[in-house]
Amino acid sequence: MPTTEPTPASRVPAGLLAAGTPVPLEGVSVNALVTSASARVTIAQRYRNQERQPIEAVYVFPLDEGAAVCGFEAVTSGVHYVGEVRPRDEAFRVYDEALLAGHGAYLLDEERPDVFTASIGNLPPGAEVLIRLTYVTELATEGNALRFTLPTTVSPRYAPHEDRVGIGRSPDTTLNPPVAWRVPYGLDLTIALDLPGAITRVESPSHPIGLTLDGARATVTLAQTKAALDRDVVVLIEAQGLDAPHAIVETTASGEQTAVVVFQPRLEAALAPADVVFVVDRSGSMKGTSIEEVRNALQLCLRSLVPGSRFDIVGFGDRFVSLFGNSVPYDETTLARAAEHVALLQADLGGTEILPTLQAVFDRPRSELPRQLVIFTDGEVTNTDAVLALIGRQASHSRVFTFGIGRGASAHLVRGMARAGHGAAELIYAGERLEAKVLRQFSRVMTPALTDVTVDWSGLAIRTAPTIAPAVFAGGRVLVYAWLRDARPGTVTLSARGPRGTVSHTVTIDPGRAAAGTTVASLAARTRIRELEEGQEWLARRGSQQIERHAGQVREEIVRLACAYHLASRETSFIAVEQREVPVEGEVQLLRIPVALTSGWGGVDEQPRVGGNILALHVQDWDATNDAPGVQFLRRSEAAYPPPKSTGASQLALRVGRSLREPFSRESPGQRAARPPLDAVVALQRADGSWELTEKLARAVGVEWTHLTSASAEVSGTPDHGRIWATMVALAWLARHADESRDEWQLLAQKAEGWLSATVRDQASLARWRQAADALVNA
Amino acid sequence: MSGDTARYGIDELAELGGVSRRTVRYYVQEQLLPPPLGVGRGRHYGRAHLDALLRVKSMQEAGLTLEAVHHALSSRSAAPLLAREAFGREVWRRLALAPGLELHVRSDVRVPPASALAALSEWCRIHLGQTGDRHHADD
Repeated sequence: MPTTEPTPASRVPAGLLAAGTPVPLEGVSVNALVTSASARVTIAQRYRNQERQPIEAVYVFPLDEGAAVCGFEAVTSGVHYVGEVRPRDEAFRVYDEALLAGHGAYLLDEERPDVFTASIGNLPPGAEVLIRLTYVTELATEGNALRFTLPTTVSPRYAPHEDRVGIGRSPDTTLNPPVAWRVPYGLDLTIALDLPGAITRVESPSHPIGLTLDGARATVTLAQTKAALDRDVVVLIEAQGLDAPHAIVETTASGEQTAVVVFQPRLEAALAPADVVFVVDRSGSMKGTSIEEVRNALQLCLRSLVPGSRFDIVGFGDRFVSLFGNSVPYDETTLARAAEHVALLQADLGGTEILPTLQAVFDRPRSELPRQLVIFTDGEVTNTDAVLALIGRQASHSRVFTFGIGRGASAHLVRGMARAGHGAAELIYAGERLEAKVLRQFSRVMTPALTDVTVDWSGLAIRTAPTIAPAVFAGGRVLVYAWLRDARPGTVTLSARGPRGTVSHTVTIDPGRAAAGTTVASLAARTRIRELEEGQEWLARRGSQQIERHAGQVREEIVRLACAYHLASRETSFIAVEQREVPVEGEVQLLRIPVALTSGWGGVDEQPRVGGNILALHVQDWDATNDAPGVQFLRRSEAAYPPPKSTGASQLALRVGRSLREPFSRESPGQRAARPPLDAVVALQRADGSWELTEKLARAVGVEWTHLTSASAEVSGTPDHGRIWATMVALAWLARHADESRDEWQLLAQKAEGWLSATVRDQASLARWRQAADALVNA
Repeated sequence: MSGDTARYGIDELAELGGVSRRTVRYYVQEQLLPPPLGVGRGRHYGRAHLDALLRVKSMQEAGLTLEAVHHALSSRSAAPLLAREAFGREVWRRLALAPGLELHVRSDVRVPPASALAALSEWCRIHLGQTGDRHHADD
């Protein structure tokens, strides 16, 4: 008899739900408020006991990895039971005692920063309870857009052996709830936007959405009620003034003042060669669209490497395989071999042993070039702590950049690895256009690290969070929090030394004009807690007694902060008790609520079960003089659980679609319509930055082959004239036809210009040929 | 306290076993420990619970996964602490197709697509009949 891996699949009542497996969770409703620096999100889960005996419902669900959970309450029979924050074990004791006594008890535990467990204790037959939890979170930025993400399901995670053993409940079982193909509960979502300037774009790569717009404010809803909780909800928002440095000051009820300063430094990318090791997750969960995304992204990365770099590609699963065995110089031969390797890349290596893979890469001898790891993964592992600790220990000589792939990637691992490795993270949703992200990420990879980053609070701050300034990249957002000393106004300056001198940004803060609120304080405390949770001494689980003692102090500090600021953490839980006059008696049945298998996970489900189309709303196309909001359907009451609309989801989506200039819908890269011509041009670039004069190039830039070659007569007589001409034409084409996405190809253009100036010494000829190429492209 | 008449509260049992209260409760839920005696606040544990707790804990300390512990306990194997090799080397996934009916897939074999599983599950329902209600499925 084979033993069974305690994977979620082993507990899957697949197909049983319809046959009556009881699921006491009836629905999830989410309301969010998005402002320039943060989002405040309230999640309402409605439970009902339809059994004949009391139940204990246990629901493992995901939250944004940066979530500072600051509120938890249970509402039953019209009474609110507000949760309090207690040390984790103490909270459980209160919970368990209440259950023994026949009372109702509601517990919220943080298993990981992105995985929580709600325990709904001792619900009598027929009873209904609404669990409402509130969190605040920072918003990631992507270029000029804010990225709001709402994870909806916990993807199955691979547990290495050490996470399947140990006393009590192993991380494997804690983090892998039962999984079902479908679950009977659905999601309703409303996002209110309140931004500093006019909103110019709202787009969701994950769901059809409805939008009600009014200048700097808007309301976003899912076009479908009761959407499946099988993929992250992702909404990208662009508005004017988001990138301006600014500060927000708040005063809490107790009179404490906290501030956050938001910088988005504009830095010129100064490219330099590096030793780049691509680390590619080829485990089973990456099958299907995920590995396809990786192949596309890698092809682009390979062409973006700066001449003089070294590189290697390491794939991992149960084991790891390296393309070259060690980093090799980047040239036409190695590029060709790598491109061929990538084209055939499969998710065929089994498990997800990321830790030994990274260890082996870090153990390699270092070259004189700075080492940069570029990791592609869906992050579905249980040993996140150990991975972050390893990367943190190597951070002084190896930076780590990450790409999170798929519809339910673990943002905690993907962003955490980048934080620990002083790099940056990009999340690529299935079907989302990845070129911009890859090129943006790569310009960071190929830019030397900024050193001496400092944030000077000019004596205003008692302490800051994070205490160590984070990594700074061109266009990347930097948020720093502080507890303020007094109500005196002053300035805060961020400065960093780059290859082209020091850059600095200054904002003014005025505590005298602080708003009342707790959002900034919650995020400041959460940031500090995260720093403690992800700190070296904390993550090094086994170590000397000194480390143990230190870990004890760290734990105490986390508990102190979490209790003071009313936050969930690894060490603190929320507990609410409903004291009952008449205790509920009878054996309590444990019901573990299944979560939906992430759409596209491991390639097992390529067809969307519900919705899943991408709809973009380009707001600037609308009549801006019209005072009325752009779209008026889907206005919804604030009620947590509106009755299902009689209008079908598809009709709603159609109505959204008509408002679009370019409605588009795509499910996977494989199903994509014609790829934008930009990609075709980019794919032809050589390792040295030049283009070859070929018919493929002629097709890519839309010029007749004969026309292209005859016009090349201009440059004839020069050695290499074919490539010079082709490179000129490609550059002229990019400037003419892809100006909007200049950010995406800037790096490649720089590489091409570098090749041109090294090849052609005569500036006058260069200018003349450039004109000829422009003329050809513009003709 | 003499062995057979020992009477422990959950905290006491946890302390004697050197585990957390959560762990005791989890072992009971997973049926690695027998349910407590008594009802409501009178619930308590006895010597047999402590013995079982220590046995499970020692197996876990020896590096057995909970699945392996389950297996060892249910098969009443004479030497549950035998090499790990006996357990957990070959990994299988279990997919429930219908109540009382499972498909076992070795971990290195691709799980069939959802559509195929749904079709298979439907076929089972039609051709093998409804084998039981959910109480059977829970067993």
